[in-house]
Amino acid sequence: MSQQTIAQPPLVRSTRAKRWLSLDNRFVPPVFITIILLAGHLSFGILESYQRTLLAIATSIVAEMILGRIFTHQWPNLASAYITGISVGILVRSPAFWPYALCSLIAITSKYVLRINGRHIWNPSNFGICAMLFLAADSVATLSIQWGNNLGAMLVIWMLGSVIIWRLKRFHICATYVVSFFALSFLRSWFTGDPWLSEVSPITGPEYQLFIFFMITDPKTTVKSKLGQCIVAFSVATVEMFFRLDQSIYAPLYALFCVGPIALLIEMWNNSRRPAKGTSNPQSANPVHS
Amino acid sequence: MTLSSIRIALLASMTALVLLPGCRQQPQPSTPQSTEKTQAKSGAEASSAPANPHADGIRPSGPIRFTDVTAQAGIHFRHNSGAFGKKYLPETMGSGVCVLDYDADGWQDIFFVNSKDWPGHGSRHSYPGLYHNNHDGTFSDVTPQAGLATEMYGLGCAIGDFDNDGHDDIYITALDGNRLFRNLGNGKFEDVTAKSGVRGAGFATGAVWFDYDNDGKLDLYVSHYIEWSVATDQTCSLDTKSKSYCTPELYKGQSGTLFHNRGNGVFENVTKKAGLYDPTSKSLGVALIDFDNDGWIDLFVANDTQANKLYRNNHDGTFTDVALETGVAYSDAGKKRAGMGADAEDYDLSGRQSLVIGNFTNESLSLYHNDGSGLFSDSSVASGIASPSAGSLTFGALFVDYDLDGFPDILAVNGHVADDISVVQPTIHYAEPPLLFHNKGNGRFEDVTDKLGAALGQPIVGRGAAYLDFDNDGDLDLVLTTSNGPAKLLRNDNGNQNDMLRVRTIGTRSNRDGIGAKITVITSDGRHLFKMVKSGSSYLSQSELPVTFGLGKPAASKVVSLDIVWPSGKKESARGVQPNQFLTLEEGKGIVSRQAIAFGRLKPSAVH
Repeated sequence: MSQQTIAQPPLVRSTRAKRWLSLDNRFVPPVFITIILLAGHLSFGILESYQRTLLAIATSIVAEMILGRIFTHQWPNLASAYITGISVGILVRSPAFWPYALCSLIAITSKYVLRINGRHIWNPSNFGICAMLFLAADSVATLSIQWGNNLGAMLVIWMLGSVIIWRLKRFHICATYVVSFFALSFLRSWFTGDPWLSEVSPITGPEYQLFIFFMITDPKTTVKSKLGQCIVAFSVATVEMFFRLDQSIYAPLYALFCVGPIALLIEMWNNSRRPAKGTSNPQSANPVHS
Repeated sequence: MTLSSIRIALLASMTALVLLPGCRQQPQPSTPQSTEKTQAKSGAEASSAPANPHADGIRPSGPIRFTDVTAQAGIHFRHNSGAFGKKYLPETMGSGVCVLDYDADGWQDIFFVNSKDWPGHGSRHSYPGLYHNNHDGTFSDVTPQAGLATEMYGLGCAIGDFDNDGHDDIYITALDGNRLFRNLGNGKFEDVTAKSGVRGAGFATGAVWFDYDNDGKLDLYVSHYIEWSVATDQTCSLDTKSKSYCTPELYKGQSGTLFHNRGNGVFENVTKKAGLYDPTSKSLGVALIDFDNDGWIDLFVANDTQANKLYRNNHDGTFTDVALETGVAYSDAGKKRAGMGADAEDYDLSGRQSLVIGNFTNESLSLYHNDGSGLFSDSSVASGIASPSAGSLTFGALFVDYDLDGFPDILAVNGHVADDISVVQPTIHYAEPPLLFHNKGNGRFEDVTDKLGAALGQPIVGRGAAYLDFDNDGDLDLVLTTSNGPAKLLRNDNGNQNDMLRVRTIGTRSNRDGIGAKITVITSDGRHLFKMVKSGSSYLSQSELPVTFGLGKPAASKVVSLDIVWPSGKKESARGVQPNQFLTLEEGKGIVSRQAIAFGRLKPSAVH
C-alpha cells in the first residue's frame, strides 16, 4: 500500500507522459494525416494549393464549432473536423476556391443532419466529396495521382499508418480491403485485358492512403463486429471493382458511399431485433474520424 | 426552434449550396457575344499592326503578344472535312500542318494537309496548301506550281530529306493511301509514292522521319488509327435522337508501319521484323525521343483509348515496347486515356527528354517527366497544367519556348470532336481556346493564354499545331489548323526581347537533315540547354527543323558554347558563340554559316 502511495505521483506523471506519446492518443491521427499531406506535397506536389487546403480545414473547423455548439451545447473536439478538412483539401481538385469550402461545409453538416438513431451513417468527407462529384461534376475532380517513382514517401506512410491502425485495433479492416483489392484486380485485368500492374497501380497513390487509413476505418461509420468490418471492407472493394469496370475513376469513394450506410442500416436493424443491452459503445473510445 | 427543425433547415441549405454553384456558369470558352467582342478587337489589332512591327531595327520591348496575321500574310487555307451530315468518324480528325524550307532560301514555308468531300457528296475541289514565304511577312500559295494539287483525304504530314539531296521532301498520310512527294529542287515536287513503296493502306495518321538504324538514311514510321470504312461506320448518338460522331472504342485498332529506307529511293516495310506490329493500337501522335540517351532514337506513340507505346530502340533494327514499365502507358489511376498529339523535350534542363501528350476532356494533359532512371512520372498535377487543361480536349500538343527564356513552354491546341457536344453537356463547347503554359523554370507551369493577346485565346476547333520563325526575327510563331475551318498564323511579337540562338543542321555521314542530332548549348551561367532535331510531333504536324535556343535576358558580353552529337555518333563543339545568330552546322565542318538575327528586317513588297 505504502509503496503504492509513495510511487503514485511519478506513476501519474509517467502515465500522462505515456498517454501523450501513446499511439492511442486522439491527436495521433491528425498528426498522421498532416504527415501524409506534407510528405505528399513536398515530395510530389499533390495539393492544388496550400491556400485551398487551408480554406477546407478552416471551413471544416468553424462549421464543427458552430454546429457542435448548436446540437450538443458544448464545444466539440476539433480533431475530427481537422481530419475532414485536410481530407477534403487533399482529395478535392478544383481550380476554384469555393468547392473546398462547400465540400467541407457539406461534410461537417452531414454529420449533424443525416443521422439515424443518433448515428451519422456516412463518413463525412466521403459524403462531402461524393456530393460535390454528383452535383458539381464540372467544377470538381478528385486526386488520382501517384507519388512518382520515389517510393520513400509512400513506404513511410504505409509503415507508420499500419502501426497506428494496428494500435487502434482496426488494421484488419485495412488488410481485408487491400487483400481484396489486389485479388479483385486480377479479376479486373482478366475482364479488361489490361495488364495487372495497371489495374493494381491506383492503390499505391496518396488517394488510397487516405481512403484506407482514414475513411474505411472511421469508427463512427463502421459496423461494430470485427467480422462485420471485414465483410464491409471486402464489399467496398467488390463494389469498387464494378465501378472501375464501368470506367469510374472515383470508384473507391462511390463504393464506400454506397456500402457504408447500407452496412450500418443492416447492423441497426439487427440490433433492433435483439433485446436491449447495455448502452456502452466500444468505439466511442476513439472519436476521431474523417 | 427545435434541433430537428434546425436539421431540416440545414439539409435544405446544404442541397441549395451544392446546386447553386453547380448551376452557375463556370469559366468556359467565351459565349457567342464575348467571342464577337474579342474577334472585333483582334480584327482591329490586325488591321492596325504593321506587317513589320520592328521596322526600325531596334530591339523590341513591351509585353509579348501573339497577333493573328493569317489574312495579312496571305494564308487562306481552309480544311475541308467533307462533312455532309452522315457524321463519318474521319471528319473529326482535322488535318496537320508541316513547316519546311522547300526552296532552301532560309525562310520557312508552310504546308497544310487537306481532306476532301466524300465520293458522291459534294463537288468542291480540296487540295493541300503549300505556302511560299515571300520574306516580307507574307506567303504565296504555290500548290499548283509545286505539283501538289492532288486531292486526297489527307490527315498528317512529315518533312524529311529522304534521299539526302539537300531538298526536303513531303510525306502525307491519308485515308485513301499515303503519298510521298519528292522535292526536285526547282520548286516542284514529284509524286514518288508508287516507286518508293510507302503508300501503305488503312487509316494512317501521324508520321515521322528518323534514322532508326543510324545508317545515314531517313526511315519512316507511320502511325495508324482504326479499322474504318464507310461501310463499317457505326451509328452513335449523344441525345438518342440524331447521329453523332462515334468514339474509337467501337472499332478495332490498326498497326502502325515502319518503312526502312534502302537508299535507292525504295522503302521496305519492316514493321513485323522490327517488332512494331501491333493491331491493337489506335495511334495518332508520334514523337521522336531518345529517352535513355543511348544515341539510338526511340519512338513514342500516343494512342486513343488504348495504352500509349514507348518503343525502345534495341540497336539491332528492332524495338521493344517499354511503355508500361517506364510509366507512360496509362494515367496515374491506371486508366487508358485518349492520347492525341505528343511531343518530347527537355523542359527542366535535366538533359533528358520528357513527354507532353494531349488527351480527352476531363483527362488533362499528360506531362511525363523523365526521371533519368529509365522511368517517367506523370507530373501534370505537380507542374500545374492538369487543372487548367482538364476541361479541354487537346489535339496539338508541343513544347515551344515562346519567350526565349531557355525553358520550353507548352502549347495545347484544343477542340472537341462532337460538334453537338453542347447539347448534352452545356459547359463543354465544340470550339475551345488553345492553352499556353509558361514554364516557370522550377518544374511548374502557369497558364498565360489570356496574357498574350486576344488572338491566342480565341476558341477554335483546333487540331494541328506547329511553330516556326516565319519572319526570321528570332522568336517562334505559331501555325494552327482547325477541323473543317481556316488555318491560323499567329505572329509572336516581342518574344525576341530575350537572346536566342537558332541552329540548322546538315548531316554528311548522318542523314542530311540531321534529324536525331542532339545539340547542347551551355550558357555562361552554366545552364545546359538540350534539344534534338526532330520531325513529326504534335498532332499530325511538324514544326520547323532548325532548333531555337532561348538564352534569356540580353547581356553585352554574352557568349555560349555549343556541343553537338550527330546521329552517326560524331561529336563536335563550338566555343565563344555569340547569341542572336542563325547558325548552320555541317557534320565534320562545324559552323559553316552565321547569319545575324535581324529584328526589323521585314518590309512588305508591293508585288509577289
